[in-house]
Amino acid sequence: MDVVIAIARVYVWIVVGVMAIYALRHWGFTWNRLAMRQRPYYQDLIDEDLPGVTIVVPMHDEQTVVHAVLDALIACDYPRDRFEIIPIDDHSSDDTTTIVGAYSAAYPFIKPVYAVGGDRGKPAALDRVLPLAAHDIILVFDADYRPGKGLIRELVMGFVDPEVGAVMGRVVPRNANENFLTRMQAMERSGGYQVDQQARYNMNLIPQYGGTVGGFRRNVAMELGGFDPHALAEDTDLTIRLALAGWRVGYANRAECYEEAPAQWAVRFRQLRRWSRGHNRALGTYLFAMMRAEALTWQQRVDGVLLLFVYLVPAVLFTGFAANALLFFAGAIPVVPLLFFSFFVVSYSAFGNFGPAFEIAAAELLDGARERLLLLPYLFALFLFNGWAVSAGAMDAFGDFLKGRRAKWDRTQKIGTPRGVA
Amino acid sequence: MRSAIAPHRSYRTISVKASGAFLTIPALVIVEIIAVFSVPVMARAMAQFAIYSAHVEGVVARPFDDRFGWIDLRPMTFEMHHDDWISLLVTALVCAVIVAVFSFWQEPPMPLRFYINLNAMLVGSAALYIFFAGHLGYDSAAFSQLMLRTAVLTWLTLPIVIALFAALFPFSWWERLLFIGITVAYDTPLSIVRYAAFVSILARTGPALMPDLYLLFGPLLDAVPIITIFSVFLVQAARRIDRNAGVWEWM
Repeated sequence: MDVVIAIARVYVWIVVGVMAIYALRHWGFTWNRLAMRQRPYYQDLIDEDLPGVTIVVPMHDEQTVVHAVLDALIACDYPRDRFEIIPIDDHSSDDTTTIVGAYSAAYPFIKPVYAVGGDRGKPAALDRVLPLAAHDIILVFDADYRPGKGLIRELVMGFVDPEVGAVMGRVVPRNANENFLTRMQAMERSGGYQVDQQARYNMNLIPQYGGTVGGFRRNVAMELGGFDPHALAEDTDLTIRLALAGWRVGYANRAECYEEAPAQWAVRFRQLRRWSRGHNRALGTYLFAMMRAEALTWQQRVDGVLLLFVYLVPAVLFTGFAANALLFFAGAIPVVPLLFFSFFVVSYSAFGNFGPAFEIAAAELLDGARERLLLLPYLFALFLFNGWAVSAGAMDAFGDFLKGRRAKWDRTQKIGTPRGVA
Repeated sequence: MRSAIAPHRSYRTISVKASGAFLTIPALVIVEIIAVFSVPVMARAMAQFAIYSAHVEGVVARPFDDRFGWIDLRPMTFEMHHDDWISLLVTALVCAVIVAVFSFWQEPPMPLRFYINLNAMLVGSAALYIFFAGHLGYDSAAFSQLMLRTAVLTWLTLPIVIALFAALFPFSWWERLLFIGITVAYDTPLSIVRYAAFVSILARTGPALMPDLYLLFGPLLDAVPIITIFSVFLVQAARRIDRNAGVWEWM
C-alpha cells in the first residue's frame, strides 16, 4: 500500500505540473493578445491579381443547410472566373443530391462530386476532390457555415505569402442565443480564436488549421500524402504535417464565418468525443516527429507538442483526481499539491474547454461583449461534461491503437433552417 | 480621423501595459501582509465557530492543540455516525443504482448527470473502502485538522493566483487591491461555514461522505464565487473601456 501511495503522490505532482504548464501557456497567450503588438493578417493587401480558388463543401444529408451555404458562396464578391465550388455529396440519402444538382444546373461554376462508394467522411471526401480541383488554393467550408461576401478574398490573400501553406479564419456561432449550451460554446469559441489563435499567430507558433473556414495549398497537401480517409481530425493532421514540412499557418481573425453550434448535449458530446479521438490519434502519430522537427524553432516544437497533447489533458486531470481520492481514502492526501491541483484546474480547465476563464474574459472584452462576462462562472457547469467527452475520445483513440481499429466518421447533426424562413 | 473610426473587433486591442500589470504587485503584497497577520485570527474563528455549532447541534466535540507554522489551529475530535457493514453495503448499492440510472436516463442534462454520478461514485467507493478496510484514512480529528490546514493555506496562497488573473486586465490599482482582497475576504466566511456544515453532516451521516465533501465541495468549489467576483470586476472595466472610445487601439 505504501508503494501505491508513493506513486499516487508523485502522480498528483505530475498532474499539477501538466496543469501548471497549460495554465501558464494560456496566461502567456492572453498577455500577448492584450498587451503586445498584434500581427495583422494579409487581408488589407490590395491586389487585383487574385489567384484561382476551389471552394469545397463536404456534405452528408445536409438538405436543411445546403441552400444557405451555397447561396452565401454564390453571393460572395470574388471574381466569378477565378473560383469554382465543389459540393461533395458524400453518400447522402436525403434530398441533398437533388438540391446540389439543381444548383449545378443553374450555376456552371458549381461542379458537384457525388460519392456513392468507398469511404465516407470529410477526410475521404477531401482526398477524393484533391485531384479534381481546378485551382491550387482550396478553401473548405462545412455545410452549416455561412460565409460572408468578402470572406473568400480575405482568406485567399494569405496565400500571397509563399511560406503560408494553410490559412484559418474565425468561427463564430450564429445560434449563440439559442440555449445555455450554445451560449457557452460561443464564449469558448471566442477565447479560442480571438485570443488563442491570434496569440499563436502573433508569436509565430503553430495556429491550427481547423478544417473549415480555412484553406490549404492543394499541391502541398498532395505532396504530403493527401488525407487519410480514416483520420477523424484531418485538420490537426494537416496542421502538424504542414508544420513538420516547414510551412506556416496564417490566422485571419477578421475572416469571420458563422456556424451552427450544437444545441443538444448529446450532439455536442459526440462532436467533442470525435475531435478528441482524432486529435489523440494525431498525438500518437506525430509526437516524436514533432519533438525532432528540424524545420521548427524550439518554441514551435514546444507549442506543437502541447497542441498535440491538449486533448489528453482532461484524461490526465481525471486520473489525477482519482489519485487524490485514493490518497484521501488512505489518509495520505498532501494539502499543498491538492491546493495547487485545485488552483491550476480552476486556472486552466474548470471554466472553459481548453480556454481558461481569463482567456475567455479577454476575448469577450475585446469583442465588446460586456454582458457575456457575467456568464463566466456558468462555464463551470460544463467542466465535467467537456472533460468526460474528451476523455472518452482519448480512450477511444487508445482502443483504436490497441486493437488496430479504424474509426468511422460521425457527422455532427445539424438542425438548420428551412429555405425561405431565415 | 483614424482614431474616430471604431475598429472591427478583430483589430481591437486594449491598452494593457506592463506598468499597469506591475501595480498588481503592491496590491498583492498588501493583501498578503494582511492575510499573514489575520490568518491566526481567522483560523481561530473557524475552529471556534465549528465547536460552537457542534455544541448547539448536540454533537460531542473535543478541541485539541495543533501548531501549524505560526498558527494555533485548534482542530477537534467529534462524534461521527457509525456505519455498520449493512449500511455500508446499502450505501454502496444505492450509489451504484444512482450511477446506473443516471447513465441510462437521458432526460436530465448531461452535466447534471455527470455531476450526480461523480458524487455517487465517490460516496460509493468510500463506503466500499470502509467496508473492506474497516475505516477511512481520516478520523474526525485528522479530518478537522485537514480542513483547517487547507483553509489556512488557501487564504495564504489564493491572493497569488488571483493576482495572476488581475495582472492581465486593465484594472485600476484600487480595483486590483479590491479584487484580490475581496476574494480572500469572501473565502473566510465560506470556509468557516463550510467546515461547521461538514462537521454537522458527518456527525449525522458517517465518514462515507467525507471524501466527497472534501474533494468536490472543498477548495475546488471556491472557484465559482471567485470567478463570479472576477466577472463583476471585468464588467466594471468593460464599462470604463466602452465609455472611452479612445482606449480602443488599432493593432
